[in-house]
Amino acid sequence: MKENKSALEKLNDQLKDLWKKNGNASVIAAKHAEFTVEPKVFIGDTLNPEILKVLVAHYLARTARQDSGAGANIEVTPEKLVIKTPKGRPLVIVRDRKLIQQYIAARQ
Amino acid sequence: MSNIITAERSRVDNSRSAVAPQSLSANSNDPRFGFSRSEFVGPITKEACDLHKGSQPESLVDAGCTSRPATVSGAQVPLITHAPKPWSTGPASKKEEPVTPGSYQLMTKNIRETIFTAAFLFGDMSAHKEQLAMV
Repeated sequence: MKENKSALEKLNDQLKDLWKKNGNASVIAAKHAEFTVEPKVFIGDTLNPEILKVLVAHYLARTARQDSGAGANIEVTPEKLVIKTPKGRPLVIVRDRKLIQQYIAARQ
Repeated sequence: MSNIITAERSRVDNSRSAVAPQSLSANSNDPRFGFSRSEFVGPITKEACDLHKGSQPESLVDAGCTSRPATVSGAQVPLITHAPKPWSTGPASKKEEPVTPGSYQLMTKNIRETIFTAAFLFGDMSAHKEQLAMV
């Protein structure tokens, strides 16, 4: 069953796993059953904001850990962090100051 | 499942603790209990005293709110002005702050671009390629 999953479904599952591994998993326990809360990854044409937050942190951690040159796609100021495509088109603009400070501190 | 069981137990405990003082108050001098009423009552909170004042003056003596303090084994028990708060035993667990609107802004216009962004950030572009092949 799992082999028949499309790449998009696999990405969906991987993002849910990433979300759970980052401490957002919660289980609702009833008397005879347990309900695991799973996020909806894509909401309409956009990403679930909580997933996006986890993804940005994951991307920044990955670029800081690996010397892959991906850091060249990141523009950072104390107020704003922009993640761009390899062609230079902005994908995500981050204004979470805590995350920006962590990224700047990790680079130094 | 354990949460439910705990809740049921706590309900049972509450009902027992609510019943016991009434039965004791009716038989406060009953020697079968082995202690006097004042020993059972113990320390009284200021709030409890304020609640009794005016409405039941005779119960103030029994409750230990008057100048005659309640005693436990003969020792004087001071009036507690602030009831202990068992729920404030330590700092609240740290939780992730929710994402505020605008702190993470996605610059995509359609679902294809959104999938590309998710795949790009995650580091697995296979889903994006498949999506492009379908279009």
